Order: sequence, then C-alpha cells, then structure tokens
Amino acid sequence: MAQANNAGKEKWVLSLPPVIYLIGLFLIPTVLMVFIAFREPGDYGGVAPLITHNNGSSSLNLTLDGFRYAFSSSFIWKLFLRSMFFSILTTLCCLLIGYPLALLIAKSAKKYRDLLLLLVIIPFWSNFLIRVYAWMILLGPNSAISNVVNSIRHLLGLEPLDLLFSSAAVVICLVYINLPFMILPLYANLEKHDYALIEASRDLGAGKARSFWQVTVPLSMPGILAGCGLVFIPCIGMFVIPELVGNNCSMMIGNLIKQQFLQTMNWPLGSVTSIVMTLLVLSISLFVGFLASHSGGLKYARK
Amino acid sequence: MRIWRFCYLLLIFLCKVAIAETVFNLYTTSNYIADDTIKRFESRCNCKLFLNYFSDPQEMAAKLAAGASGYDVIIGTGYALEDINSMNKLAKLDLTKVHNLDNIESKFMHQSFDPANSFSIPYAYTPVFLAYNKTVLDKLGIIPDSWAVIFDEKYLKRLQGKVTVFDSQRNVFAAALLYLGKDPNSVSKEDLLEARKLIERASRYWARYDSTTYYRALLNGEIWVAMSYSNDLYNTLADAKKTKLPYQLAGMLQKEGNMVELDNLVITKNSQIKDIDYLFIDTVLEPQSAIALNNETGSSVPNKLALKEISPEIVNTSWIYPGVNNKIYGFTAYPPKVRIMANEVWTELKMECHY
Repeated sequence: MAQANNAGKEKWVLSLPPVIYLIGLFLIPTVLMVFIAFREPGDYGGVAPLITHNNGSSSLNLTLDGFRYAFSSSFIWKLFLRSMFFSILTTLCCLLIGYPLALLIAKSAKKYRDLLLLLVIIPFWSNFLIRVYAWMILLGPNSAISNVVNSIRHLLGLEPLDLLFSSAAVVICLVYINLPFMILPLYANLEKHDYALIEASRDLGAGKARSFWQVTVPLSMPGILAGCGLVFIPCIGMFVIPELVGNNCSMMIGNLIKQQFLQTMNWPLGSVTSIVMTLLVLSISLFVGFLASHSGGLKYARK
Repeated sequence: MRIWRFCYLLLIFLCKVAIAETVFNLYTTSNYIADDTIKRFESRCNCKLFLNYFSDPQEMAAKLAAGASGYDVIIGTGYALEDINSMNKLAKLDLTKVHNLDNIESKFMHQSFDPANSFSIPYAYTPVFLAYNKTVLDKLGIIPDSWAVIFDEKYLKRLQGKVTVFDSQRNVFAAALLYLGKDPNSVSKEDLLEARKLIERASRYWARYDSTTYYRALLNGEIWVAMSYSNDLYNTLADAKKTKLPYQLAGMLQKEGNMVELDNLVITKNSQIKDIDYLFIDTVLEPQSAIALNNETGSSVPNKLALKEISPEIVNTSWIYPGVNNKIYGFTAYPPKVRIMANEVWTELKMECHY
C-alpha cells in the first residue's frame, strides 16, 4: 500500500515540470484570451476597464461585439478559407516531395543515411527569415527562375507574370520552410520497417507497386499523419511569409490576428479570431485523429 | 584549477562592464541618425547608445500601449506620440534644459498635437509624395502632379499592377481625402466612408500596400509609381546613380497637397537617466548632427543653422524641402473611437482581394 502511494508521488514529481509548463504557457494564456474576447477594446490598445462607474451606478463592460463582428463580416471567413486552402496545399506538396525523399534516405546504405539526414537538417542552421529573403531574391523579377518562367509564357503567347508577391510565392515558401517537418517523422517511421514484410508480399506475388501501396504506405500511416499534423498546424497560423512574399490576395488569418494586436490595437477582435482559429485547428485534428483510428493500416502499424 | 580562476576573473570583468556602462536606449525607425552623431554623443555621455527599431508609428504606439518599456528617448511621428502621451507614458519636458532649442525653425514648433512643446521637440520631417519612373511615365504621357494618378481609373488602367501605396491607414486615407478635396485629417464618418469607396475602387489596380520595400521595386523597374518618403527616394536616387539604370527615377509633390510626417523627440516617463536624455536631445539639435542626418539619410531637418550649410541642390528640391507655394499638412491624432472605426475599415480594405 505504502509502496503504491510512493509510486504515485513519484509520478507526480516527475510530471510536475511539464504540468507547470503547460499551465503557465498554455492554459493561462488561453483563458486570458477567452476573457479578453468578451471585453471592450481600450482607447489605446488593451481592453477597457471591466467596470465603469457612472454617476453612482456601475456597469459591467462585457460584450459580444467582437464575435458579432467576426461572424458577420465575410472577409474574415474568406481569410479562413484561404488559410485552410494554403495549408492543405502545402501539406500535400510536402507529402509528395517528402515521402520519396524519406523513403530514399531510409533505404540508402547505413553509412550515407546520417549524411543525407544532415542535409535535410542543415537549413535549420540559418534563420528562417533569412531563408525567406533568399527566396525573395530567387523569385524576384530579374531572377533566373522568373526569366525562365516568363520566356516559356512568352513562347505560349501569355503575359509575363510576377512570381514574387503572389500566392504562388507564399505556397512555395511555406512548402520550403515546412518540408523538414514532413521528412523527419516519415524517415523515423520508414527506417523501422521490416524489409521481411516486403519480401513476403513479393513472395506472395505482389508487384513492386502493389507491395508499396499495400505494405509500405499503410505501415507508414503514423509517420504520414504526424508529418501532416506538424506541417498543417503551424502553416495555418503563419503570418510572416504572406507578409514578405504575398500580396493582398494571399493574406492569411495570422496576418489579421497580428494586425489586430500590433497595428490597430483591437485586442478583443484579435482574441476572437484566435479563438475561432484554435477551435478550427482543434476540430480538424480531432477529425483526422478519428479517421486515423478507424483506418486499418494504423491499427496494424500499432501492433 | 586554472580554469576556475579564469572563470572567476571573467565573472569579475563582466560585472565591471555591467556596472560601469550606462545604457541609453533610443527607439526609432531604421536609418534615422548619423553614425558620427552617435559617436559624438557616446563620447560625451560616457554611455552606450542602443538602437531599437520600429517600422510603423502605430506599431510603436501599440507596443508601448501593451507595456513595452526600457526606452529612454523615442523619435516618432506626431500623431502616434500624441496617443502615447494620452497613455501617460511621456515625461513633461523642461525646455530650459534644452540649450539648442533656438536652432529649430519656429514654424515647426508649437504643432497642433503639442502646442506648448510640453512633451515633444521637432527632429526631422519627411514629405509623403509620389516617386515615379520618369522614363516610363514620360512614354505614357503621365505627369504625376496630382493624386489622381493613383486614384483615377483614367490613369490607373495604364498603370495596372505598377503602383504601390503605404501600408499605413493614415497616409492612404490622407491622400484619398486630399484628392477628394477634403481635410486630410477629417474625422467625419461620411468623409472616411467616401475615401474608403475611392480606395476600394483604386486598389484593384494597385500592386500592394508597401511602406518598407517599395523603393527597391522602384529601383528594379517592377513598380512605376509609389507613394514615397523623401528620405527613401533620396537614398534610392543615390543607389540608382551607382547602378547606372536604363531609366530615370524622380519624385514630385502633388497639387492637391501633401502630408508631412514631422518626427519628434520625446523622453519616456520611466527613463532613469533624464540628464543623459537632455544631453542626447542637445546633441542631435546641433547643426552638425542635422547636416549629417540630411546628407546621410535625406531626411529634411528643421534646423535653421544647418540649412545654411546644406547644398542648395537639396534645399531647392521641393519633395525634400517643400517651398512656400506647396500645400503641406501635418497629421493630427484621431479620437479613440474614430481610430477603432478607421482601423476596422482599413483591415477590411487591406484584406480585400480583387482577383
């Protein structure tokens, strides 16, 4: 009995740091955000005082204006839809580029694997902003890429195109920045696959393609889901990339939130938008989790 | 043991550095003080000057409103400083401690946002006007002497995707209101909504809202007409000379009038080193600081002693130093309710997408 109690205590002590971390850096800010969403905007940023005294009578300053504004204005929903679209597109592109690459690394000889993996990680050594600025040069109007694209368009009789400051530039940069987050979990998963299973499927008469689709892909489902989650969720809240390489038509919901806090000083509206975004991301994650737990491949992979 | 001794000595050394060095924090936009001035000031105050940058006056005000502190002197636009002063974050100035106050041209003192100069002292100013690619516009037969060039479809149809305006609610609305013949500081809802309609129609033809990279786009020919600050164009013209462009860039004031952003020096209320703050203000008000600022950054300086020493070529450029015939306006702060309304409108405008 006493021993069991001790084990319980040890568990508590061990879990204390992450619990404090989560309470301090996740729970409290979230509660604050919800609270601010119902307040009135202050004159100079922040929020108006909770209680105002007026001729002896005091009134409580709580309002649903922020929610009303957010739900009634179509442009916020357009921003949400666009953010979703960009994020899904980015996730798909990352998957299409990342899967073959992760497979290649996992299947290469052991002595090259670390080197290849290092090459994936190297971009992390320089700051993310610098890498986006590098893309600004690569996509600029006088760059080689622009020249090639526009000379092809010229041959086809089309108008020249600005690559920089466009939605295409935003998606390119999003894919570039997020690609390692797709490759690493996929690699971690693919590397552990038992080659005997592929051999078994080949013995049973499956071709290369069939054993890939029916053995490798289902087995790598946990890696795919982890990678998609790691790419999709940071993507949807991104604001730096649309700001640097996008135009009016590629602003995302993160830009609106940033603007509410840093420029227009309307904290309640910023909080409302953040809450809606959090709920959206949460429901998508739950939905994907639900799908995952009902897909056969994942069940098999867990065993 | 040796390593421990080394660590100990290092620790003592670091402590000494930390104690001896007074730090003076300046909060301003980038490229807004000459290097020589910083050196001269540091040798006088026996302290270290740290530069902290913001890109938009409203961003600076929002940061201070959110509780950012640790800045001693801020150089910022009048209307943003008025907001900060309303938040009670600025020190009341003792003008007797500012010995070089007389160097400032009197027309820049006593601005509407601070009639008694009780918290702000003029530092430099920049007109907001249209910079353009002269070679291309000459070919098109367009002279950007009116705001119509960026608001009237007659011109815009030929300039599709080649125009940028500032990412600043105040500046874009002021230009629209001037074009409509209204007070650029108007707070009437009808005026603002009329300006909004105008901007909404015109923005289909604009490339983007840009107040930080437009001059580069102008330089490489991507943009033909840009709402511009005088200092940005001044530097861009210098770069253009170096790179030998196949086209010519120029700037022009508009006949409906132009806004002038007057930037002021203020001392924050919680600065612990007020004597050094006043020393800094005196140093930058010296004519040699103003001349260096003008020559290095192209900012217009309200310093009458400095003006005599600056080359006439610069002083006679109307988009750097507007003459008596040019209509120029300063910004006044919006009342809070108007600002929230204007900002909502601005957010919707900015996120609007036409294709």
